[in-house]
Amino acid sequence: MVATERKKVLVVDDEPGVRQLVSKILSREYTVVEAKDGEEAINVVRSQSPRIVIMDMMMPKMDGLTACYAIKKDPATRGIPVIMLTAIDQELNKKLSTTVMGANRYMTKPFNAQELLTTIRQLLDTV
Amino acid sequence: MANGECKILIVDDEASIRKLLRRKLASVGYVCQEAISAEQALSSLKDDHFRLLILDVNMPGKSGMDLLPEIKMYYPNTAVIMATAVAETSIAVECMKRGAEDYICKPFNLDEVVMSVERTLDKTELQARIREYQGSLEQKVGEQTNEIRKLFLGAIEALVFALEAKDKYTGGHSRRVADISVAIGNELGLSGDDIADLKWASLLHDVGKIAVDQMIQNKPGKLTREEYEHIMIHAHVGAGIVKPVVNERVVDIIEHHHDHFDGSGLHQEIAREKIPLGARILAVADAYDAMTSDRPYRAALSAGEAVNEIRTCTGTQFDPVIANAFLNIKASEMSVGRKDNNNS
Repeated sequence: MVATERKKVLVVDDEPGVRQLVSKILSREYTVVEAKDGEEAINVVRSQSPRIVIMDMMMPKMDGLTACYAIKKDPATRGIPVIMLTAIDQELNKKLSTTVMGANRYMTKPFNAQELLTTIRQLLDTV
Repeated sequence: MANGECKILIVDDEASIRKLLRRKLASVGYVCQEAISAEQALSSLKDDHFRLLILDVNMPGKSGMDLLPEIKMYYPNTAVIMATAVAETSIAVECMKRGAEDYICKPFNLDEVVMSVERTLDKTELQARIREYQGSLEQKVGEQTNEIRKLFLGAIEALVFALEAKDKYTGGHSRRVADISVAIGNELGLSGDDIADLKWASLLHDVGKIAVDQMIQNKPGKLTREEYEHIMIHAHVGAGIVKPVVNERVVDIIEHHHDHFDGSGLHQEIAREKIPLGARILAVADAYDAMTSDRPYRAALSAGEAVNEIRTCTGTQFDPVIANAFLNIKASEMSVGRKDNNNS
C-alpha cells in the first residue's frame, strides 16, 4: 500500500496503554489518530473526518456511548463506522451500543489483533 | 330416535293438510302441534319452544311469507320449511332467500316431507353447534387477550418500579408525570387512543436512565456540557428499550420528549408541529414535575415558581398551545386551592 493512500482511523481510550497497543496494531496499514475521551473524539471526528472510529465505552468527561450517539446523530458524521471496544462483556451493553446507539460493531477486551484488523477491513469495504 | 324431543309446529289454514302432515310426522316420532293462522302460530311460539315450523305460504290474513321475517328475527333457532303450491315455487325460493331452511310442494309426497324435516333439523343442529363453538372461542380469545394485557401492564409497572427504585430523587415521578400528561391531553380534547399512548409514554419516558451513569445523575451542582449530553441519551435509549413492547407512536413520544419546540434542543432534528404532539405534552408535564421535586442540585420549586418558569419558556422550549392548556389547568386548580384556604 502506498503511504499517501493510507486511511485514517481514530482510536479513543482513556488508558494510554490501550491507545498505544491499538495504534501499534493498526499503524502498519492505517494512519492512526488518538483521543482520550468522548469529547475529544467528537472534535476529531468533526475536524479530521477519520474513516473509522474504535472507541472505549467507559471514559471520563464523556463516555463512549454518549459520543457514539452524538456521532450517529449528526448527519455529517453518521456514515463513519464506530467499533465499540470495551472490557464490559455484557449482552445489554452490546445491544445498547449496536441496536440503540447505532455502533457498527461491539468487541470486547482483551481482543485478538487479527480479529480487529479483519473487522476494520470489512467495515471499510462496505462503506 | 330422538324425534320425541323435537317439537314441530304445523301452520296452515286448511285442516286437512295439517292433519295429513301431523299424522305422517307423528308416525316417525315427532311431536306436532297445529296453528290455523299466523297469529295463532306466534302465540304458540311464545308459549313453547319449537325446533321447526312448517309454514303455509298462502293463508288468509297474515301470509306465511309475511310471518317468516318475524320468526327469523325473534326465534332465530327455530327452523322454517315453507309449504307451497307447485305453481308458486318462485315464491318458495324467495322465502329461502329470506331465511327459510327449505320448502315442500303441494300436493305433498309425504316421504319427501319427512326427508326435508330430517335434513333441516340436522342442518340447524349443526349450525347451532358451530355458533356455540364460535361463541366459546370468542370468549376464550377475549379471556386470553385480557390475560396478555394484564401481563403487559405488569411488565411495564415492573420496568417503571425498577427505574424509580434505582434513584431516590425520581420516586413516583413517572406516575405523576403520567397524571399531568393525561390531564393536559383531556384539556386538549384528545381521543381515547391518543390518551392511552400518552399515558404509556409518560410512564416509560425515563426508562432510558437505566443507561445513565449514577454518579452523573445524582451529582449535586451544575452539570458540565458533556455530563448533560450523557444524561440526555436517556430519551433515545428509552425509546430503544421499549420499542419491542409498545406501538411506534409511544416510541416516538419517548424519543422526542426532550425536544424543544423551537428546535434548539440537543441533537434535535425536528421542530414545532413536526415533534409528536404527545412528546410536546410530555415535555411540559415532565418539566413541571421535575421542577416541583427535590433534585440533587437544588431544592424543589413551589408550584407558583414552576408555573412561572413554564410560562417563561413558552414558545421556546414549550409549545404555546400545550403550555396554555397546562396553565389553564393549574389556574383552575390554584383558584380551588385558594377557596379551600379561605374556608378553613
